[in-house]
Amino acid sequence: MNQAEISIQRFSIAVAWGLSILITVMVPAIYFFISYQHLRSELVVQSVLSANDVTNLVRSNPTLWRYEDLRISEMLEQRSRRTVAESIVIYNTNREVIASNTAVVPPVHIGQKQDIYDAGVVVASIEIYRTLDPLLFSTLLVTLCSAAIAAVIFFTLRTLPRRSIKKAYQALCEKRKKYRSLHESMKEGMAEHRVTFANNGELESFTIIETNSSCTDMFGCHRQDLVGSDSLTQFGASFREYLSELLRVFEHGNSITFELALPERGAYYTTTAYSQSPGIITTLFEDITERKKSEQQIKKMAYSDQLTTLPNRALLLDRLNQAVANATQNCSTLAVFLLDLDRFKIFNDTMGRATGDQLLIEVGRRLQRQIRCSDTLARMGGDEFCFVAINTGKELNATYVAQKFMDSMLPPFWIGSNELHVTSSIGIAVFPDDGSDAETLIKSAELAMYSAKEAGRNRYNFYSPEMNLKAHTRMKLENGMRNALEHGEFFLEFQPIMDAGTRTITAAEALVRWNHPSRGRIPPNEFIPLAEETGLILPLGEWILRTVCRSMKTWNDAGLPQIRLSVNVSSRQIEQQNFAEIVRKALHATGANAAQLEIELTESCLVNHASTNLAEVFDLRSLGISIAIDDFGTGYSSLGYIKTLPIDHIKIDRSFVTDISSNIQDQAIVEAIITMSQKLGIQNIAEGVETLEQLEFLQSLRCDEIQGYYFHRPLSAEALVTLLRAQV
Amino acid sequence: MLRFLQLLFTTLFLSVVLVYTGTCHAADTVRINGSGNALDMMQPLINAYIKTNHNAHIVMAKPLGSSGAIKALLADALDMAIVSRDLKTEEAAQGAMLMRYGKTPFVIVTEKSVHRSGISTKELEDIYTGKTGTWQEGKKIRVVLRPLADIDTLIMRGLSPGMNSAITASHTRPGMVLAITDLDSYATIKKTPGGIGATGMNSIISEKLPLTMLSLNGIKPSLKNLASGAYPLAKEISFVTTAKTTPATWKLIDFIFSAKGRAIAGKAGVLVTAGVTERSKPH
Repeated sequence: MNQAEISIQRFSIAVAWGLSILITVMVPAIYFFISYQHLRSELVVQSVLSANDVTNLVRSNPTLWRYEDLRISEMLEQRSRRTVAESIVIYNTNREVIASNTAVVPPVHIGQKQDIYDAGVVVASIEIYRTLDPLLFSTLLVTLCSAAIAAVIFFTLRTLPRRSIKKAYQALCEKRKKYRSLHESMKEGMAEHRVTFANNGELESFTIIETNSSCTDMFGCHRQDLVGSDSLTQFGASFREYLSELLRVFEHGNSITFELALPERGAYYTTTAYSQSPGIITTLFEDITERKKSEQQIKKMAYSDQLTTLPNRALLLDRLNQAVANATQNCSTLAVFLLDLDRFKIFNDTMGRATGDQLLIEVGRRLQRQIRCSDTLARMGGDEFCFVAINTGKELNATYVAQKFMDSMLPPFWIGSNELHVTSSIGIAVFPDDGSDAETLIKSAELAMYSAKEAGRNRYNFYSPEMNLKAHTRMKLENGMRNALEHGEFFLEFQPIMDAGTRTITAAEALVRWNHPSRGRIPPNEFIPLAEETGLILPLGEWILRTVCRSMKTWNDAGLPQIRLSVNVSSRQIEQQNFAEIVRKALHATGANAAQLEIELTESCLVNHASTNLAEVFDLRSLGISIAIDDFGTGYSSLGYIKTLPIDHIKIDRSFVTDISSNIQDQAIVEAIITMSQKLGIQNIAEGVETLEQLEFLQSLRCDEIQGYYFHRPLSAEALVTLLRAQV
Repeated sequence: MLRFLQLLFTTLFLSVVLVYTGTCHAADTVRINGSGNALDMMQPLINAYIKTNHNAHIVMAKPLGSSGAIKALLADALDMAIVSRDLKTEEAAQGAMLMRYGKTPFVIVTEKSVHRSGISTKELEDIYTGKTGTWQEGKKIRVVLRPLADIDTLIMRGLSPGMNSAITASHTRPGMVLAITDLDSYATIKKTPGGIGATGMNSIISEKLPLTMLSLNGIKPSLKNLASGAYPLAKEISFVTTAKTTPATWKLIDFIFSAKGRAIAGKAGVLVTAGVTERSKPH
């Protein structure tokens, strides 16, 4: 029994006692009082009536009335209650008894006196005494009845409320137990929060005040850790995101449901919040982590290929649609590659399905290594893979990607103990030229792929014939260039750089040339960008550097004048971490004079590359190597680098020189460049000088050196040697 | 009726006082009182006595009844009491002395409109117990009772055991008419429709009351039947004196006991049983 129960019980007992005593005492007391008053009234009336009767008797017989015994006796017998002992006595003025009845009244009685008059003078008095025994007896009976009723009431008040309270408490306890049991057995986690607001209406606290065991299990902590803590901290940022909606629960009174994600725990909860009392919010958490995982798994199964775990056709279509939408919005391009393994059916039939499946897995892995994270590679079914590349830019990039895929197939696949050589055919469709939607693009890529198959497999094919042509040309060129380096198809020509004053050769720019076995000489502007794009520029650049150094050494050894030999270095070469080292090795390997070597950099090189790489390049000056800025004035608008970088030569771009005779602006620019270089102590070289006017103008500006057809076209090494020998 | 009687007594009293004031001395005043029936007998006697005794001053107030008169006598408020019962021991002890004079038939009477001439004891019993509530003509029977202690009630009780019980039963019945004195009794019967009661025959005769006297069990109430013992109910008339009784009173008593007095009493319906000399032998 708890304290409240004891208090209620004590109170009910006290009330029962009080009421019982009240009933036991008050009811008889009231009864006695009323009855007594009634009796007194009765006696008063009786005495008055009797006195009146006697008065009438006196009046009718003033002298002898007192002897009218019979009449008086009869009057005295005229009583309202004959069964009650009642004494009636008539006294004269001397208190002598004139008449009385014979009744004897017990000591406990009530009396009433009334005077009797004759002509206004008191001649006697009548006194009536009535026993109180019947009243006392009836009062006793009433008392007993009241006591009995009081006992019943006491019992009722003491027992029934107690029993009712006990029952109510039991019911309450059972309900509490049930609630607690329900509360504890709830699969859902339950947390109650107390929300308080500051005077200005701002949220003051959001505190957990109760939880059930499911809640503590869900959040992996003890009840005491949760209760009293800040809800917004405990339930993560996701819970905080819904704060405003949670607080609105107080206003609209409806429950809200939201998904609570705890990424750090990898858990998800469907959270329902409602308020049943002011300032209290109850949240029910249903752990949907497994469901979410299942959903993810289903989603994965729905959108991924079970064998390779790559996205499947559905997901690819979805992403392709998105990519098309983005490309449409951004006016960018994208390319769809459909790759089909060549003769896969034969592998499958001969090696078995398991080997075929394993081959598909390995192919998927290799292809995936070739792509960026943002790109999508999917298995479309069978031996067909599809790749979506966004922002492909030039079609040449698509070619590059396709080539990469094909190259990745080159190493043999080891499936078990089997060495498998696999090739693939790739169809490429480009947005927006080959289709404006996903389905069309894939269909175009398929057609292109079938064309590649028909063309003999192990190749890629664009859907657009024009692009196909370009791509194939490029491919041939690229392949040829790879072979050219090996087969010595490249050679150098040197364009002399003349001293503007003496008109003697002071330097020569080495220019790479490709003598294709079937196509003949291929213009540098055709293969140099491709070499840069494909990275072939690196071995080619190194070959140029070594060749120049070797020539320099040979010519020096031959006693020819020691002129500077400049080499163009591309941006990709500077990207190399070890470019300076390659230069050093070349010098070292050939024994060339570093002071004769000049490296020509474009302005864009100075801007695009990290200062560390450039610093290493400029460090080469310590060997005696000079640095020249090629095509000056076309690349970069800032001249700040001239001030900071130790540049030896500035080569004024031919575009300024071409019209220098007639174009005042060009004249001004060239004049400014020459003046600037002179002021900065940098030698200047004018490129593309083809006429005497140009030469004379440049000479008038005191240009240091001249390069151009006016003096010499690019010459073979032998021709240069001849010139140098002549100059000796 | 009471008012009338009071007026009558007052007139009588005043006339006696006037006569006495004019002709007699105060010493001749005799104060008498007693039973109503007895006093009714006294009226012609007093009238006759005063005719021959002009000095006599007889004061006879409203009847006090036998007991009241004896009490007043013993208290010297009266000179003589005329009663219808014997003395009680304590009354005798106090000096009261009784002289028997005679008796008058105690008659069952009805109100004049009741058409009956006789009644049986059984009928009386049924009437008093309430078994019989109406007269034959359908009129309600209204019994006029007398106090239980009154001699009239005792006489009626003596009629039969059934009557004794009936009297007791009648007094327990609610709403019954009760007449205290003889005067009240016959006056009440007279004015009560269907009324029945009992009174001394001398009162009916002397007061010429308009009541119907019923024969009892076929016996007419008459002095002859009373004397023969055929009629069973009778009311005694006795005189009570004390040692203090005045000579004027004795003189009146002597007249009453005289032959003339007896004749007047007999005429008034009293069967005088006392001898002429018995007046000197008070009991």
